[in-house]
Amino acid sequence: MSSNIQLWAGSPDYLQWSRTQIMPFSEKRVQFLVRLSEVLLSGHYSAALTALGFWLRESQLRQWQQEYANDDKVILAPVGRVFIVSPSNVEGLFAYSWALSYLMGNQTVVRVSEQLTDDQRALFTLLESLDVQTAGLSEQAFISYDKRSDITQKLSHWCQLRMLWGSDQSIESIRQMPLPAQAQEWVFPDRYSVSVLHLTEADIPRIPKLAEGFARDVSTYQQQACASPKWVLWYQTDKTLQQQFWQAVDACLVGAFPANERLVASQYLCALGGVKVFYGNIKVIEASSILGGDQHLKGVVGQSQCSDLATITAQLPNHIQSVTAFGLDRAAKVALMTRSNVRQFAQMGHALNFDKVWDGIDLTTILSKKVRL
Amino acid sequence: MSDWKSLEVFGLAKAEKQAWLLDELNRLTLHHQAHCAPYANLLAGQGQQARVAESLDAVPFVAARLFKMLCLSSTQPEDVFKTLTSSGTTSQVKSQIVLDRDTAALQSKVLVSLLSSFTGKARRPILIIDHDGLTGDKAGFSARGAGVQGLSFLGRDHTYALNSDMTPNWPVIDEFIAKYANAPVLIFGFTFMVWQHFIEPLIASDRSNLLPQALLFHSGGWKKLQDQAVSNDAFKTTVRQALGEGVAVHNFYGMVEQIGSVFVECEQGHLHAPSYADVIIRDQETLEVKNIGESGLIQVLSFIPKSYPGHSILTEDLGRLLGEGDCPCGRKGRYFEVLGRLPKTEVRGCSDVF
Repeated sequence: MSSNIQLWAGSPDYLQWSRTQIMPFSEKRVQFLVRLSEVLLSGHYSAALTALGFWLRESQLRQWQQEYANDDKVILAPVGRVFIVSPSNVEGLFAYSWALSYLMGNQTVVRVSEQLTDDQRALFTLLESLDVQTAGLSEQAFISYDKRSDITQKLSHWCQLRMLWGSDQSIESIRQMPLPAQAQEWVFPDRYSVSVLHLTEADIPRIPKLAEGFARDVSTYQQQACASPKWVLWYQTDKTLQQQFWQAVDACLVGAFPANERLVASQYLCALGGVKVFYGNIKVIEASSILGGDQHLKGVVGQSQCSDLATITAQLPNHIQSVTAFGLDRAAKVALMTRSNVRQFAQMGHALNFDKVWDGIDLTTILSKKVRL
Repeated sequence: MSDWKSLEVFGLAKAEKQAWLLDELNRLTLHHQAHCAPYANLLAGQGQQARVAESLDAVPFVAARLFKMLCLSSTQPEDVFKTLTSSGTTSQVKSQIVLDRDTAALQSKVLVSLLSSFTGKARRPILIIDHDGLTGDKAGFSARGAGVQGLSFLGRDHTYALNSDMTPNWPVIDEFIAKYANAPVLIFGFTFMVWQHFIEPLIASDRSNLLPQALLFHSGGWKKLQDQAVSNDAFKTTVRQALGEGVAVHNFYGMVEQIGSVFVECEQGHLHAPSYADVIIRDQETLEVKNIGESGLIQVLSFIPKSYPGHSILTEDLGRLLGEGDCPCGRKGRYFEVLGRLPKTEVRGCSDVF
């Protein structure tokens, strides 16, 4: 094995693992995740890791187990060998996709960026210590390596499922490496997310709560996650209400974004034709359509006015992912998704809550196979 | 208004300077508004259209990073003479600065006029701490190449001290030393390169007191030296140890976005704004103007940039305003110090593990 591989947790001999006989929701694996969840919820971990702990709580795992219970027609089985390449911008993301792969009974190799964040270090330390106690990670590996090495190629030959999370550029480079015909691939490339808000006079009392949620959606990961809303499409909403909303958001974002980042981002959107309409802890730039979607801006949100749903969908880019919505009924959501590539809706404040159905894909399904009896 | 050439480099009193520079800058704002659409949009979007600034601090500024995100040019494509790029390292996105002939020429003339106020009118033999091969390609001209070329106008008998692999070219250096040991010479290089590729090897090779009448200009940021815990004082002391006690050492602060009107360090160790340029220090958080003694983001003003809207730029450097018009060195205008870069908020765009 090349010397530039770093193993952060799990077992190093992944290329030699023999085939596993573990099945989805094996009790040993459920117990490992439950233990992981309990420690993460002990109060000693960051908000992001605590959220992971909550997501993996036992009641949730048991509920999934029910949901995927075998019947007399099909039995759920692992895919087998899964290779996950995870992004560095949302440092906890790898843990979610790994946990699902693990739960479905797979052997998993996860590649993370060489520059570990504090959260990643803490999580790997914890995984290692749980592994020492339970040997629960004997068929799992969390590694980093120099991207110029041939490890990606080796793992692409090793795996039966390659799952790539990252920028379009990263994914396209990895895709240069052939995947054997027998292996599957799922990719999670660059996405863009917006918020669609429809407020009426009756919603005034709810504005503070909505604003708090919106502020959480933009401040988590400093707007750098694919699901972070970057533009607000106001659907039939009075400008006074918009102003009230921004004031309430502003109050929740004191110190969230450095002044220079806000300046750079707002000047950029203005240079493209936007007009500054709100100036504070976050800047709001108005334009007739979405601008600057290819830059990673911080501390700025764009907005446009939409009188009907068609004006909204006309603006949404092809790589639209999440719509954090308020005031849209089911029919409106259906109208939006049928006319655009919207991949998921979220409630205000929950844009970044990971779900096993993500980006329009049921991860548990792709990480397992349904064997017909 | 008087032509810049009639101005004494560091001789304008506050009111006089403000009147001259403000007029130049207001004219540039209007010029760029008419010739650079994104710049006009930027002003309009910020509610700053069609406004003549009443004071220097009211001149609209452009965030330096915008030059990396957009092509901001007030020049017709057929009139582009060369495009400068920042010497940004590794994978960083580089600034793009578009020059026409007039702006490029003005940069060189202003730089020569400014620096010759330190070196005197006579051209000195110049030892350039770099290799010969930076100034060839006009299309992709680096800031380093532009710096070297700008300074080379000040000197004669241009001698490049380094090989292309950045090792000292000893035969050439020794010949230069033998020839000019007792003459006033000029040395120029980027701070870190002067240190690592010239001074340190000189000392290691036991050469000392080599060019006692030299004047050294160096520029280009302290970050790498700070990482090695080398202060400006230590830098000067070591340079003098290697070259001679009487060697004059002048750092200067400049950037690819505003070549020409640089800020040169005086004998007191203060960076001075020449008559053609100015600095304003702004609060990091509120962007309000700071007073003497206070620190914040450095905004730089220059009358030179006509081919691109770079006459008023808010940098990502931190500095402290030290005074105005009263430096013991006798130069008028504002003087300041640079404290380093704004701490980088981690760039974590969508993810590149690959």
